[in-house]
Amino acid sequence: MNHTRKDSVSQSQAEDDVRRLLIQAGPRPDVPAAHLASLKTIARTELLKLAHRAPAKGRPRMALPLLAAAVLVLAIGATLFWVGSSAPPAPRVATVELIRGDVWLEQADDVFVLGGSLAAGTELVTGSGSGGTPDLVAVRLVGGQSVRVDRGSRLRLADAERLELVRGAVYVDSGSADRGLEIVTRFGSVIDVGTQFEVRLPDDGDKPLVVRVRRGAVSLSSESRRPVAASAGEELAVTTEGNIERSPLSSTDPVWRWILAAAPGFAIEGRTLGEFLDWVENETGWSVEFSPPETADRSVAIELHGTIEGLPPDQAVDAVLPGCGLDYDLTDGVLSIGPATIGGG
Amino acid sequence: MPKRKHARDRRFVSRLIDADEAAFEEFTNGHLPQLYRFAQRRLDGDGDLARDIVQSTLCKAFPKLSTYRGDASFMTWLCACCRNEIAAHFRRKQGSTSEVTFSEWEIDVESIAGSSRGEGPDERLQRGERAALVHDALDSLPPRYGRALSWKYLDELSVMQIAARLDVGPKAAESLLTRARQAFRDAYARLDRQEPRSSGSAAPTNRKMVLEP
Repeated sequence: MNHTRKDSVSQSQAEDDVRRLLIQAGPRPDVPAAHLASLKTIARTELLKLAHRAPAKGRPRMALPLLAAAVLVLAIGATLFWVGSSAPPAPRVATVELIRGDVWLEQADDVFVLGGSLAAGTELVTGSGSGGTPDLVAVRLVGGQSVRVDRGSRLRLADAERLELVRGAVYVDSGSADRGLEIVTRFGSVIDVGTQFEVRLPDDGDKPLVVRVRRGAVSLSSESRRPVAASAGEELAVTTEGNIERSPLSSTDPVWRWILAAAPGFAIEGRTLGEFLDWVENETGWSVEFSPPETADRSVAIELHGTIEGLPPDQAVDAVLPGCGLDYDLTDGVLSIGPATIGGG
Repeated sequence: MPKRKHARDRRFVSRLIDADEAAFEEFTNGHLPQLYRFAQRRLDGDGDLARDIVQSTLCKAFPKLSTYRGDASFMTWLCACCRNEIAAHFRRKQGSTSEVTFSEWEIDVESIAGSSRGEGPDERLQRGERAALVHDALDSLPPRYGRALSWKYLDELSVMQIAARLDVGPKAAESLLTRARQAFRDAYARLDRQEPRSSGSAAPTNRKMVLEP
């Protein structure tokens, strides 16, 4: 028998065997997206630990921020020009975006004003809210993350990628930031890559640390515990015994309401309705739909004028939509927008 | 030659250690889902438990990435670590104090043959088990092999389309498919020859690892 033909027959048979087995077995099941996101966060956390111990080799590296290099350059430059008695100035790490009620700085020489910058080491302290004031503050880190601090809190801006929550609660919206952020508490650290989440140290109860994730995933770790991941729609509570309890949490749950009051404003002048609704969706966790769907084509490009300053996102829709000839219904976290009916509903 | 055979995996692991973003994406799109399915099939389909086991595996394995020598494929190495975590899980669950004699970081290619616990050859003949065997074999391969075979035989993509997805030329894609088919047949044959295990334990029987219930 011709050697080549025998090889061809066995090759063909082999391919038929493989084809038959694969078709009979069907495709491999997909991994749930939430599970994959959690595991991706864990993998990234573990690999970044290795990377911080290993010397760099010139390739594009995972989520190692350019700011680290910039801060290093600043530190070297400052050392060269500040030889002598003066310590180099701490790097700027955040800009103030919102101040409501009783809020002040500690460990800082900066003037605390809207639009002002804050240096590394600054502590943001908010009042208890007992005086009837909201006592909230929002800053934007140099990495682009929006950070909001609830009443009764103390948050230290250790550097541009590390915040220390001493008491109270902090909410982070990473948006499109390309670097991770670590929130350190005495009960453990929370690391995020592209998320909306809250870290809370409740004053009472048997759960001294609570982590809530609205979007994306975070990793909670401590020296005595291996990292635990939490995905969007989950709450992790660390008990006084050190156990971790996991429970579901909707993106529209009332626990998120305080972040609306602390949301930096959205200037509508010259922006489109589509951009405004993107902001509403991002802040409220609602899903925006148009009914009928063709309403979207006519509406999203409408240019807005005026101001909604002082209005939180959930109230701003009342101010904006009627002016666009639209009405809405909000049910189960779905904001359904349609043409306004003549004479009202 | 085993070392040359897995030289690509050694380079890949080296890139992971260097925090190479492209390598990380390749890991999360290929190895991670395979590892998850590997665990899930051995945990009665429990996805939440599979996630926890894979998480433990990553926390144990990644600090030891520098010990990976390429004697077996990187996927084999990961699955071996995962199998240890699964065994530890069942030990805790059963309250067993048995020791595992398996050497966690020194494995051979044969030890990938870890099928679902307690299955004998007769049960394997049933469709569900055979599908699991096929999926096990696919998941034991380098991710691009498994993907190429799925594209070819399940999605019925042409060689040109597969080449485009792999970002290689058509000849390279054909060559990869040939190697993938052979690798799949070898892996499937190994799994199909697997001896039935002693009952009540998750770990496979092989000459290096024994777990007593």
